Amino acid sequence: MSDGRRYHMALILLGSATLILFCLSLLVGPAGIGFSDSVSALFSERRDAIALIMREIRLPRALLGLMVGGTLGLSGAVLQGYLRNPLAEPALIGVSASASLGAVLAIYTGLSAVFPLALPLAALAASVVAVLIVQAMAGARGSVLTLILAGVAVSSFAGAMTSLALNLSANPFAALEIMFWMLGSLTDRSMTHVWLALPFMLAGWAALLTLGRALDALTLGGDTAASLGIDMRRVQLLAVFGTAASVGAATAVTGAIGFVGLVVPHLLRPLTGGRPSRLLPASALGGASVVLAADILVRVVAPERDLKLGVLTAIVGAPFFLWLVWRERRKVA
Amino acid sequence: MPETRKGRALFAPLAAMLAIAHPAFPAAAASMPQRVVSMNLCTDQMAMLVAPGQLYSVSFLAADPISSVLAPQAGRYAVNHGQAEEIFLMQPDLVLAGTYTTGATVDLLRRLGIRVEQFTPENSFDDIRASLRRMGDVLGQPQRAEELVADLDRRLAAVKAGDHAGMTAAIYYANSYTSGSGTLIDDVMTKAGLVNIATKFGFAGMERLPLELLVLSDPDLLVTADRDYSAPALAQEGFEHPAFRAQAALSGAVDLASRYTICGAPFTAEAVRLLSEGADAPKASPK
Amino acid sequence: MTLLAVSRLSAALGGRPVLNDISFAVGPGELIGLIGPNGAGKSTLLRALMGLTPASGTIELDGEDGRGLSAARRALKVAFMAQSRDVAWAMPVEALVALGRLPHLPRLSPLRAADRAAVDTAMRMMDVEAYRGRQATALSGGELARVLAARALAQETPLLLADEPAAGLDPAHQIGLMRTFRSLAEQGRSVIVSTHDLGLAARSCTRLILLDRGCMVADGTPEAVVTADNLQSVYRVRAYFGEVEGRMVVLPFDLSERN
Repeated sequence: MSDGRRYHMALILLGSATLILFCLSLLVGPAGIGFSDSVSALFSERRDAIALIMREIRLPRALLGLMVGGTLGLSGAVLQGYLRNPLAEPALIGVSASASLGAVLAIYTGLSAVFPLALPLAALAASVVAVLIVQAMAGARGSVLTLILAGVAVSSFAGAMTSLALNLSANPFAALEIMFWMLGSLTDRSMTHVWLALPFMLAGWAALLTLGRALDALTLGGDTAASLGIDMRRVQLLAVFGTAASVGAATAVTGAIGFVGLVVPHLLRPLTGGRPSRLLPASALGGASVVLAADILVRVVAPERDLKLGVLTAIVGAPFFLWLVWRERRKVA
Repeated sequence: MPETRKGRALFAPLAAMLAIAHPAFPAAAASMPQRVVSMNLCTDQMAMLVAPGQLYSVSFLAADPISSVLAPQAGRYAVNHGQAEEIFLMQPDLVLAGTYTTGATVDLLRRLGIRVEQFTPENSFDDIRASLRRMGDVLGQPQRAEELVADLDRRLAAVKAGDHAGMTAAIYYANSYTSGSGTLIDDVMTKAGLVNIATKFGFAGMERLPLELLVLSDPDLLVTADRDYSAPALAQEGFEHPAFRAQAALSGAVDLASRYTICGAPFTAEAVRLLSEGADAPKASPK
Repeated sequence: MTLLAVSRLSAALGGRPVLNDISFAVGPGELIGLIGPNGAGKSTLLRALMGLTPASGTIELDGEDGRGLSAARRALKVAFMAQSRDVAWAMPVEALVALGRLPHLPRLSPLRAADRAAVDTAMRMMDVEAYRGRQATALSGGELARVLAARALAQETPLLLADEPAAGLDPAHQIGLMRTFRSLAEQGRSVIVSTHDLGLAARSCTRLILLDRGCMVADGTPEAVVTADNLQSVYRVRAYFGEVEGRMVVLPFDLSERN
């Protein structure tokens, strides 16, 4: 099968998987709502309990799964293409760690208890500040290396501050709440969270999706890409701020969900013929599918225990690395 | 409903009189929730004491005998796991939660039009009295709440603190934590007539008590909590330290089940009684 | 019509002067060999012409000021082959060569018939048609070098700058590459090639520019530039000079005695 045909098939499969998982996500929950009931509840004007559950509890959860997963997959693909490294992921530029710090500070200072939206807003603000710092440290003509170093510096600092907050917290309840939030979860998010995250995510996606051509050119290196007419400074700004806006918003509403931005682009790359521009939409759909599937599993496997989404993605991510090692060894042997 | 027969006999005419005297009473009656769901261990137990007949569901922690004093009674109620959808399905007219209950869930429940009352953790007996009274208001059982407060005061008064006033005590939890000033345990110790080593050292809230300081202070009474918690944990290592065991041999010892002090409630007075008796025990004598 | 006019170009790297007052002009139909010892500034000169390294002086590309040019417009006038041949992903050769068409493609447009034709022509010129479907990361060094050259050719620019494109190629392919560049020159395009191979440069190029420690030492025909004196003072080598089939042959064979 030709290269192009295989890619289009893959896109269709991924798109279908995402759609199916989205619908499944709407159907999973303690209230055993049948398929036809749930569909009619979503689209009708009813205000009864079932409609309320579907519209205010299940729908935002499924939408966020779609949005957050798509964001992680897309930004992971962009960063791997921009940094020319298959081990890059959104966390590298310090966005997730900073958003976590912002949220943790909101819990620690008691602000989130007073004003519920304070938590996601603080997380968003922190990730914006962090990215401005990273961009300033790396410089407009910063090499890829300085960008990574700046991101690692900001991540480490944010992580240290978060640990400090946990350490100093005299209140075991606050400490627990901080820890659980950081594990990442989609439980009980409302449409408010969706509307809060959506504008930032849309802005981020708009920035990231324009980078397809630039990433293709970057396959040959920064100098050659520049010689092909790519404005490298613009690419850096779009990649960094696009990731910051979308991943910052995602982390702000759901906590840190790891591995998706790293594993999904890596796994899907063979299907795209090594072309970064093709990886962008594929990775977005793949990321959405993975997060939706994980969120369904979390509700099916342990409905009572409130298993955190971030824990599940980490449990899957670790064996993935083992498989990578095994695959590399096989190649050499 | 009032517990005693006499109380019930009085209730109906009393209610009728109030209904005639206060036109607003029908609204007040509507504020007596009948289908209460509690999401938090402490509000679980307090609601079980204040208005058992109005309570529909408690959290799954309420049935854990290590954390919950009222574990045996918890079986009477439906169990919830603190998730918005399952609670919404129970169709409560009131939800009780702690101020540290997951913000997203509390928020979502309010968005769905459910009334949620949040209670802060109690740090002193005054806090307990205030919470009881508020619980009484919220559940429409102010008299019952007053009865519980009176019961608490009686039990505290019955403790003979004089016999061992001035004895020093140190509480030593897993992971070398102790409770300093501003905590419920500190208030319990004070009411039991003991001097809390942690407060003498200036600790506030829950802080780590270095083993050195523990040995240096040579407390008359060493208080531990849940020494025999079933799941092994690195946290329990502190209790195996030779220095700790040597100190334990010198001091009097009391193992105070944490379920009395995790949540502030009338049964916290039991903790005061246990400490007081432990202080009076033959081994423990002021040094 | 001047394709490239450079005036008083100077550059410094980390405070150290690397290029010193370089001036020259390039018309159509020239194959210019840029030669000089290691560290002479050959790569830096090419990168400065591409705007990849900051430099002072004026650079005029096809009559327009090089400084004011956007990257996109420059890409239509000059193609560049970098010295490092690092390909990040396992891209098929055909797609890699097609990257050369990016400057010509309108936004969101896939490859058009004209683009495909240019890609085919470029692959034919560099003799890489047999590798069409293979992955770029599975090629040998020399095969990859030719594929990357095809990419630059596919860009169809009047001017091509190549930084050591012949390094690592076997003799047949080295000669073939220079022949391809020569045929480009005959079509009216111009190529500036930096190389260490004096003999290859002398035999194939129409003009040579000799750099030494950032300064332009000579600029002219191979016979005028590759002289025993220049080889002695700049390269510090002694060479054999000969002629085969009417073309110059130069072979450095020993270090020169005098310092």
